[in-house]
Amino acid sequence: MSLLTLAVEAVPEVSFTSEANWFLENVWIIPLLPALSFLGILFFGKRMPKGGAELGIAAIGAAFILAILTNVAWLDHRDNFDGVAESKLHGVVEDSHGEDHGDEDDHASAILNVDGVAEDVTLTALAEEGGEESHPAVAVLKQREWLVNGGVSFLVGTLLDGPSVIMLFVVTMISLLVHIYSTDYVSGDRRYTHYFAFLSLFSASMLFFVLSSSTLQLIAAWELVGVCSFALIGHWWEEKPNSDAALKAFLTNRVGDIGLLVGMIILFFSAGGTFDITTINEKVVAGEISQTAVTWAAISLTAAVMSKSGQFILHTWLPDAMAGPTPVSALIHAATMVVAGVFMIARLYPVFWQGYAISGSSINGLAIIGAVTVVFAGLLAFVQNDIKKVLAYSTVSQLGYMVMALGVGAWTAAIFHLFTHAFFKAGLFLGSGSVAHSVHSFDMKKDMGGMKEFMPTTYKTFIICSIALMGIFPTSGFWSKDEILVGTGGFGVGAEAANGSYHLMLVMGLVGAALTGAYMTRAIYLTFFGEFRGHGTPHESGPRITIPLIILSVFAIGAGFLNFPPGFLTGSAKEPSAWQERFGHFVEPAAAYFPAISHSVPSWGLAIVASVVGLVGPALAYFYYFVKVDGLAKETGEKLTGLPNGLTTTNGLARTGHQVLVNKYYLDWLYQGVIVAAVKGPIAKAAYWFNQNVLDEVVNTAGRSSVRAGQFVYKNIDQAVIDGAVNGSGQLSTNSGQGLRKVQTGKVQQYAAILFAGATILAGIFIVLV
Amino acid sequence: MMLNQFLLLAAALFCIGVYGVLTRRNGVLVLMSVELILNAVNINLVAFGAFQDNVMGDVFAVFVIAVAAAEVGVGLAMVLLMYRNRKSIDFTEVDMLKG
Amino acid sequence: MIAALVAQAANPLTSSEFDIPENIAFAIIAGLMLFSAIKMVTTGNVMHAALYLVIVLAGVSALFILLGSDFVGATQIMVYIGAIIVLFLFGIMLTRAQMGDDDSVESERRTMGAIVGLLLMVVMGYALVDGFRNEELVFGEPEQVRYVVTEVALGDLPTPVRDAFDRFDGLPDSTMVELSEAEVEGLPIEVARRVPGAELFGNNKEIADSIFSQYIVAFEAVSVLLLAALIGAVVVARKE
Repeated sequence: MSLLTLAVEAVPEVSFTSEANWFLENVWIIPLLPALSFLGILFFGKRMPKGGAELGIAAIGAAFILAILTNVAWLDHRDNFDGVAESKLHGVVEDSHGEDHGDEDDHASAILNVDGVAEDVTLTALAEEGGEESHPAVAVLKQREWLVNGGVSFLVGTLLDGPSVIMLFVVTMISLLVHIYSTDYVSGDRRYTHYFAFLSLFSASMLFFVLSSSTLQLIAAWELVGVCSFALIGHWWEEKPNSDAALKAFLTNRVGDIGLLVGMIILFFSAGGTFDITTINEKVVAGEISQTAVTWAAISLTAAVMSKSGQFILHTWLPDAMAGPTPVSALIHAATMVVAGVFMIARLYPVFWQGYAISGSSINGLAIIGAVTVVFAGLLAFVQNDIKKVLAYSTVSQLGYMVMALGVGAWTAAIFHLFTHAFFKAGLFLGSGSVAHSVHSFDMKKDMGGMKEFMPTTYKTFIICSIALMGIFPTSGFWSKDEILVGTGGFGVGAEAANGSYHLMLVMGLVGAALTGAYMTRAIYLTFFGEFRGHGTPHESGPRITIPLIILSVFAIGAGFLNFPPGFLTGSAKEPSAWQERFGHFVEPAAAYFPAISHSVPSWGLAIVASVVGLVGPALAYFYYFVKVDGLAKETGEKLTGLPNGLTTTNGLARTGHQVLVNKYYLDWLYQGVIVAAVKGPIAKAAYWFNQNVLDEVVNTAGRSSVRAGQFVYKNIDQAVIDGAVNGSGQLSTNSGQGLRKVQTGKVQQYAAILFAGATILAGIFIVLV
Repeated sequence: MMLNQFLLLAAALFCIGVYGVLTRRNGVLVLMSVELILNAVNINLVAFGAFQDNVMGDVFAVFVIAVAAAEVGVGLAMVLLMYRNRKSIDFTEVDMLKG
Repeated sequence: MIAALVAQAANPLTSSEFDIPENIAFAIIAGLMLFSAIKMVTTGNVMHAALYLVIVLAGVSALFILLGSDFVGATQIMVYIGAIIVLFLFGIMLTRAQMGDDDSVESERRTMGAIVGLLLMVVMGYALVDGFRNEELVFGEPEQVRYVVTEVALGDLPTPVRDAFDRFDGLPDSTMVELSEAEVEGLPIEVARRVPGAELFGNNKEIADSIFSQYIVAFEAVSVLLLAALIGAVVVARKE
């Protein structure tokens, strides 16, 4: 196996064109529509019969239709474009087919060394799908000069390629559904018009973001998205926790934004004074920028991703952001805001690819952050009682998957997961909102339970989306998650043509899959099964809430079929059939501004292992909740809140008390079981013993340990370390403030005198020394 | 002419301005002293511009003049507000920042 | 030779030798400015202080013109003396500050101010003397000077000047060309006559060009700042 024939895609010499289909050229209209609707709602919304909602829906609806047409146009453009393509580095290239690559192209002769085997690896610059695949994906770039200052020209424009096209679709679609859903959900709200105005601006900023052609535009849109999320999270700012949450989101993001600015500045100077994304990427791919600069840029940008996309340790704002209205949470978590970080990596992928040396290593910063986030956030999701917080931590965990995928070089898998995740996570959030709308609470333990009976549609869609989130065959989550796991290339799975062997990431990814299944099973049990614990009679939500749910759950099942792995049912890994890997084919750039990523070949073995592991989590949780806890609840006739259960109590003393109670109950239960078993035959007895002691122990231990681990992470790391650091810095400034208080006489001129004297003395020292 | 004669004159004006800012009690007079400081800076800018034989110094001096106009406008508005609220524009009486 | 001398006389800032008239002018202006500045920060009468400030600002404007920056000098007069001083006078009147002596400054504060000011002067003075001891302001002749050349004399032109004329298509009876000093050297005065005032406002074009190209962002920022200051001043000063 040491001698491998690797399918290495050569980097084409062209990257963009400025002449294409009308829809591709005039894509700037799409963000413009919601932006105009923002202004319209802001100024005239109050006077409209529906408070401005109709304008917002019309604008985003039109944008959605345009986005679909753009997608259709892109499908044609991707394969059939034969006009004049250009490149920032090479200029106009007459032959846009790129058929002659591989001869002198030095990118194609990169030496890949798989598994550290020292033998030469035969390299063939094979096109993946024969001749057809070698057609480069020529992006559509429309730019114009905004201004020239100090010799630098500032270009603005739209860069339309695979990832931006698909994001246009996702953002407009989720946003449209959220708009429709919101007309019911926030009806009667005192700031109804204001809400829709910001919803429009939020969508516009995200659309602007995905179309950015320069890093300046990227930064501007990034901040716009942040401002909108601030306004929407703090929508009900009259209550202190809500405005605090909004501030926390905003300030945590500021931390990362410093990284963003530093990274962009490094790129600006190292790329020779340009903000143009295509130029920067092409230069990085061509190796014209020093490795040091690229590495530092990648590290700085990673900080930005950590805050925006809620990666561990800057994830803390995301769960708090649940203070906003639920549709906003759906929008933030599915299509805008948090995916901005992932999209930024995808957009500047050469920088990360080169900076972290993703192709060769088996561990790197990006992958580690993603992998740690997957597991830690998954554990945290266990100890939450608020259904939205479970989903929030779940989003953090899933974003971890995406970042991890980008970190291991599985670019398409990351974008594909972003795509599928958008649908099922939006469905889950909107579903939880539907439940909360009828019980007027988000607390699963206190006010939910048994909702299956009351809200059948919500229940069904929630289950479908949960299964998709757990990644169970054949829902969309299965395909995308499997692709990420294959992309890690750990332990030889998908090692063929993999970029590196990321063993740790594969393990973490599998653990995360099991955790995801387990906490979602818990959430489903607490919400939809058992006795209803709330007040009043809940009822199913109206059509404006259920129809978006149904649409999203259809996508949650179907979206995964867009990217069947090569070799699934027909064809082979090397030569996919026409209907396999469609998503990757149309979305992944194949142009001079994108690195030569190798694609892992999927393996049946891993798919099966991942499925089994992914089922173990739900199975354990099922035993724990549906069998044990449910049985316990029936036996005692108590409501879940009255049950002794160590999961929820945060108070140390109470937890100890509950723990004792729990153990006592188990003892009683075991005694009963042993006595009952004793009267049965020896085989039954033995089987029963095995069942009780071994299987149950496994179940119990797994359940307990994951709960403990979750609590440990929450208590020690989330609460103690991170919160401690925040509190400590506050304490420090309080103390120093007390000390400095005495200097404060309040006389401004005395301050000025001290200022001038200090500056003079410093200047004097400087002069003497220099 | 030497470059230094302009720079030293500007430095002297700057120091006189600082003295004025630190000692005058009347708010309007403090603002006037600030103008002195800004003008000292402008002399420096123009002198260096002439020294290096380019227009950069002139351009920035023009910008400084524009900024100074804005500063005087807002500053006097604040002094007026202070006068309206306290019937006095004595800076030594304003010590609400006292810790 | 004659032309060069004439050119030199026409432009008082050409000399790199010890230039007495400018230095005398500088000394008078500087002395007046220092005196007025000191009076401004020490006088008890607010109105007098404002008038002393006028003298200082006028002096600054004169210095600008002395340095060859006519545009900035003119702006200084218009903006400062024309507008800002009036604003100050309004401020003085509206706050009804005592017109007479109100100099009740405590000696303690004066000492403090004087110490800081002197310290600053010593540090800056040392730095300046140390750093720019021998730097001389050389008002180099502008590279290209405008001359009017009459057609009559065209035949007598030396080669480099004729070459310069070749840059133009067809020659009207008199035209203006930009020639360097070296090219003009030795021409009879009636052939190449310096256009009066051509260099007086010479750098205006350059200033305008650079404001609206190289410094366009700063320019826009300043306009936004002025707008913000306008709104801010209205908001702060209006009565509720």
